[in-house]
Amino acid sequence: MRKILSLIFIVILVSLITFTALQVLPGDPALLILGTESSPEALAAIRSQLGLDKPALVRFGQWLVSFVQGDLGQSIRYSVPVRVLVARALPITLTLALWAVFVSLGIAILLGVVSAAFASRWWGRGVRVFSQLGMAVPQFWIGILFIQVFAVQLRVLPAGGFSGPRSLILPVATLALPRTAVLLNMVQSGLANVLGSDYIRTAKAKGLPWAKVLFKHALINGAIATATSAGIQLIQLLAGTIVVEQVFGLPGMGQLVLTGVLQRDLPLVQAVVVLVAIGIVAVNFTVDLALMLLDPRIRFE
Amino acid sequence: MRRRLNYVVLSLALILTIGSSAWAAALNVAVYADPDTFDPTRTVAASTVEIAFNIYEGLVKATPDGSVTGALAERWEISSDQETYTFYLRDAVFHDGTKVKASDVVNALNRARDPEISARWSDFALIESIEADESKVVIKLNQPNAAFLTTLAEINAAIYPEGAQGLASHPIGTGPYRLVEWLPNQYVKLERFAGHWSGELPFYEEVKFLIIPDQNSAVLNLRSGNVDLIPRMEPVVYHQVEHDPNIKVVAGPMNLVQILAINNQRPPFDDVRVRKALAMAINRDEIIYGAAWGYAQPLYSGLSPAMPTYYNDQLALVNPYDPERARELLREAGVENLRFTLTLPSDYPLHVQTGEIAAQQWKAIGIDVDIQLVEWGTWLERVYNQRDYDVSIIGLAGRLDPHAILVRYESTNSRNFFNFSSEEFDQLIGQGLSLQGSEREAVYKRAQEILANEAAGVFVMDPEQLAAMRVEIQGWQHYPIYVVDAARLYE
Repeated sequence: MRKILSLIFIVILVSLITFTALQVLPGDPALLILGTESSPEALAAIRSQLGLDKPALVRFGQWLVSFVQGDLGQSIRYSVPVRVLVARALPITLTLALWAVFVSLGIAILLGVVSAAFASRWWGRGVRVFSQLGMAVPQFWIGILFIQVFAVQLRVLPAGGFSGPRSLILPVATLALPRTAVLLNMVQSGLANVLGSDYIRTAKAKGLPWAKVLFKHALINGAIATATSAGIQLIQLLAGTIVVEQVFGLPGMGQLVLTGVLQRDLPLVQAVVVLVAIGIVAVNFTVDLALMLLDPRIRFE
Repeated sequence: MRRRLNYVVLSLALILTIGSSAWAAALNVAVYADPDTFDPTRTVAASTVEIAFNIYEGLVKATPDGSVTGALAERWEISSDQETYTFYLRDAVFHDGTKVKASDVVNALNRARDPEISARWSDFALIESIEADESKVVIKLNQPNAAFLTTLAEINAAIYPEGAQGLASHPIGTGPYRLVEWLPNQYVKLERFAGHWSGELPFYEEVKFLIIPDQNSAVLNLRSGNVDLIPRMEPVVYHQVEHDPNIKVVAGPMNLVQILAINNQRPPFDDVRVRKALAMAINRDEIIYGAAWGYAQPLYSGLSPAMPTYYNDQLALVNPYDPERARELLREAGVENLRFTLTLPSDYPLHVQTGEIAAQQWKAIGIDVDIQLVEWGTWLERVYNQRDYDVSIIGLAGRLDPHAILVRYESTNSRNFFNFSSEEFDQLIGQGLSLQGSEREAVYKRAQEILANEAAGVFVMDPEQLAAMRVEIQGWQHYPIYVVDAARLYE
């Protein structure tokens, strides 16, 4: 119940902030539509058609009332219902974000375990170099590099646009790379901490097979930091696929919110921002649940 | 075994041929922005016209050389007082199969001039009455207007069936292509229309306009074969396709006037000597080489050479590049240590780079320039709408008629964000519309001369439109307006 109340509070707060930000920003959607050929007559005509001639607070009130009723309103830039735009963009961004996290989590755990199991100096150093590089290289650059290699040179994958799941392979790889680096760090340091602890030594001493020690005792106990970090990564992705969507020309939520802000399309920006806020609350909740499963000592306060 | 292998080879070959023939009949075009709406009474965006040119037709339509030709009107007569136009309609059908009637034309044009409905009604305010008479449409004007036919070629004068609903996303026109699907942020898909009045069928069965806002992304898509054509490639990325044997670039004038806009009313720019000094410090060749990679024509007039009939080509020496004289002019005007803000629209790399080079050139004659980058929405509000700026840079898009371009320098015009004011100029613009032939040409040439003499702004260049496409594609045509004529393309 308290979760739901705080969710409602967050939605209202977030939408109010978005609204104020777009009000403060100089610029006018009608003027943006008309450009350098606009005249006062044409501006007035467009403003009244779009309902922009009403006072700002009235428009915010109207938006809030219809949002509560499940109506996201009409996009100013595209003159279609925002619901239609979001319904097409959301699956793309969600698929992108979830796959990126799954892939990076999978690779990070695999590499982390392998490097813990074969704790040679060279291997550990190699992994560290990879994770430093992965975190340092800017994402748009990785994206362009991938396009150059896989789309332009080898021609095995599309360079951009959305034409089915194949279009998501390169963007997912681009998003996953730096995240793998971050998560790998987490897995490694988590494992290193646990592997040095007394109970692992005890487990080894009483003759448990190495694999069992590693997977049953060490990995799960070392996973808490990783799970939290994966949750944070997913949250960042929900709000932060803008750059990659731009590089690959993917029609996701990032593109929508970018167009929305640039065109001062208030209903569109409001809808995307509020939905992302709801998504973040939901992810946090799921991470809390996962942590509880991993470590029964953790309880909600 | 061997026979089975033959089957495999045969079917593979079959699949390949079917595959390649289907590929040959579809054209993927990369554009930067979505249309705003396909409702002709409401659309105002260039990105709509670019696509809708293939879907809608008016009584007349534009040609690549900038004149107009008959579209739904087979021919027309103009009365001797230039106030009554009689259009004779062709036998044509809409995309929904219904016949085009004179009443459809009357309805569409009446809606276009209705202030309650139309966003562009003021363009049609000169119409007194529109009447239908079987297959004739008679339009009466309240005064002669030499630009009227070009107004009828605009998207806002497109003809659609009377009573048609939902045109915003489901346009019904008479053009060579009809709309199949529009997914905002993704693509607009068109299919060729077998019922076009010309009886001709375009080469490409399907034309898909892919919305790719990012320059680099569009070029990479072209190089990887995802995209067949980029109608407007920025010169910045030209080097990426220059050596690609599968891609060719067709360059042509864009009919765009790039101007260093000066706020003519804000001191010290209200002194013509200061404005001339700004103009004479500018080295156009250096800017064209540095900002447009050489793909532009230097410009000395408010009109582009893409309009050869009206373009005044005698203005290059009015304010030539002469830094010494520029310094002198500043001294004569009594201006010392001039410092101003140059506001640049960050969304347009061409204008930003032009501004950076121009700032260096002004610095060379002792002017201090603060560059301020603003995003497009802010630019429109501050510079265009509120006219709150010192100097800025922008491209003014071409129109079919010189009046539509030059009228914005009229002192009372709402689009005159330069705050330019000249009595003689106002008079000339007032006369131009009622004149014909060489008299009309002389008026606009003189008007351009005034803009140059008064240094209303510094006209820098007409950038070339770079259309990049697969080498197999033939038939590309540059237009002086913002369109892609897909029906002319073939391979």
